[in-house]
Amino acid sequence: MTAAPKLRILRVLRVLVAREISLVLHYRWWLAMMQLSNIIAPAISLLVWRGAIAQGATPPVSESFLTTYLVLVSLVSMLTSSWTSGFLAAGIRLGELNSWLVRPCSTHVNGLANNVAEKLMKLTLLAPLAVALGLLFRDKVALPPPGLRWIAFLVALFMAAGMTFALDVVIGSLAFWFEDVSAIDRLRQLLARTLSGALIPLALFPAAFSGFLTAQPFRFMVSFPLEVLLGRPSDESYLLAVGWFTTFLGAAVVIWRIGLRNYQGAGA
Amino acid sequence: MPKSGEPAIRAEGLTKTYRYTEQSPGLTGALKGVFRPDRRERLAVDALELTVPRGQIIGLLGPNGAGKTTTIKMLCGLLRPTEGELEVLGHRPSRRGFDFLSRISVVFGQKSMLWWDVSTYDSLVIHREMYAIPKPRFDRSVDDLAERLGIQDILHVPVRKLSLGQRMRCELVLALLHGPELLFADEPTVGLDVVAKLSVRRFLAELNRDLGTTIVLTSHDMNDVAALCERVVVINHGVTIFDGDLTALRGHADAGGEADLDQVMSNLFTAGS
Repeated sequence: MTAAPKLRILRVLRVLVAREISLVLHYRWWLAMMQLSNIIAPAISLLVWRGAIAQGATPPVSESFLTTYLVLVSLVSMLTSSWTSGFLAAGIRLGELNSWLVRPCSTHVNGLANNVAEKLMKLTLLAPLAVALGLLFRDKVALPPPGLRWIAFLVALFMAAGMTFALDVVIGSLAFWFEDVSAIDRLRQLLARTLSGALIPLALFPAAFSGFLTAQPFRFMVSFPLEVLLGRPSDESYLLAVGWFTTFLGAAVVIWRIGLRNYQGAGA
Repeated sequence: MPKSGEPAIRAEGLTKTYRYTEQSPGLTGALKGVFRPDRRERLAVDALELTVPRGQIIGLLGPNGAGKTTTIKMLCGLLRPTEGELEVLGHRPSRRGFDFLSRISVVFGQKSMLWWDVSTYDSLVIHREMYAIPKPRFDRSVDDLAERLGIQDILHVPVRKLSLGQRMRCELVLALLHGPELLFADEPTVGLDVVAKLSVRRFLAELNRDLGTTIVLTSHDMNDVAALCERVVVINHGVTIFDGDLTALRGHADAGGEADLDQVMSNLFTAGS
């Protein structure tokens, strides 16, 4: 793609994001409640672990890492989440994709705009809550000074969001072949919640699973950006991150293209 | 870029087969379907031959399930043909490149292209960026189309608050904003009252006359066809059974020169079934 089409797509994305923000503003209270529930799980986890440490428990990571991780995890989870598969699958099944396929703009630009706009709104609501949680446990919160680590964190965060979005496109695209993809989506959500480190830091899982947990893709959707910021992941981990990112993006492109050949464009 | 003498549409042996799985009724049928799915095929369009010169208004007619919408979907790039050759404005539609998509437009009478929760103007702004329309041309086109279709007063009203007739006029403005050379209008007057129908018909006729836009129309309202189409192609069971003008159509159906077109079509389908 040359510069002009890329610029055109960016301009479309900009107007779609603006439209989505104006729509999302109608649901501001729903969003606010959702962010409150997002911060509660790590806050409870934080209280439990602090209590356990006070009772003499010795987790395999420092108390400072654990506290900072749990303060930031709701923000990272939210920023790397995606919810487009259900809409995409419905569009394929009900023929709503038709209106996008006859225009010179991919339906994924619309999905991306919805994702970006909603995240911007959620961020304004969730960030103050995360800051409040951080202030509550400020004695054990340790953030690195501004510099290269933060830049690497932002890159890992961007890749994590890209991977999740690509996986969502893969799952939604399965609707080209299957009547209902919601069960697959639920399984993905369950695996992602457990294996991404969104609920419990992966370092706290039994050591016997560490090889599997280190290599599996869900780690790179939440845990890895935080590891980059707060720890020192191995060089292999960076390679794995790039490998999974490329794999998921490639899979999304290939499955979407094959699926489009099967598209039957239900309805008018 | 196609030469100006080339037809807008050229289809040879255009065929589309749908593949699907049929399930027997009841629990036994459902279980059987898991282990031995009954895969079937349905021929929706069978070796269609069609050449449409530029600037023509052509009506694609046929009963429900005849294959008209499948044909339109292949012509605009939504569906990939199973067999045959298809060239629209010098492009293979299923590739869906920018150059092709920016020169065609589609109006679905039963499916809105407008964004539901915002005003028509907001949808137009999104299309301005999609089709890379310069601002001065955008302003001119919006003014011109809004005046022709009489929607100046409702341009900033959320689409969900518009009546069906108002919405269809707004759909047309959105579809024509980028100045397409070829318009696919799939039942554009379905559900509209008489006044709205006349307004849409008048507009499509003006569009063809003033800008030379090629129009492929499907409609079950034979008044639309009589008012607009210089040529009709009748499809039944995926096969072309007639291609010509309305006078020849009446002759083909053994109807008189003044025969009601609904009766003509009924004769044609009854004879063909």
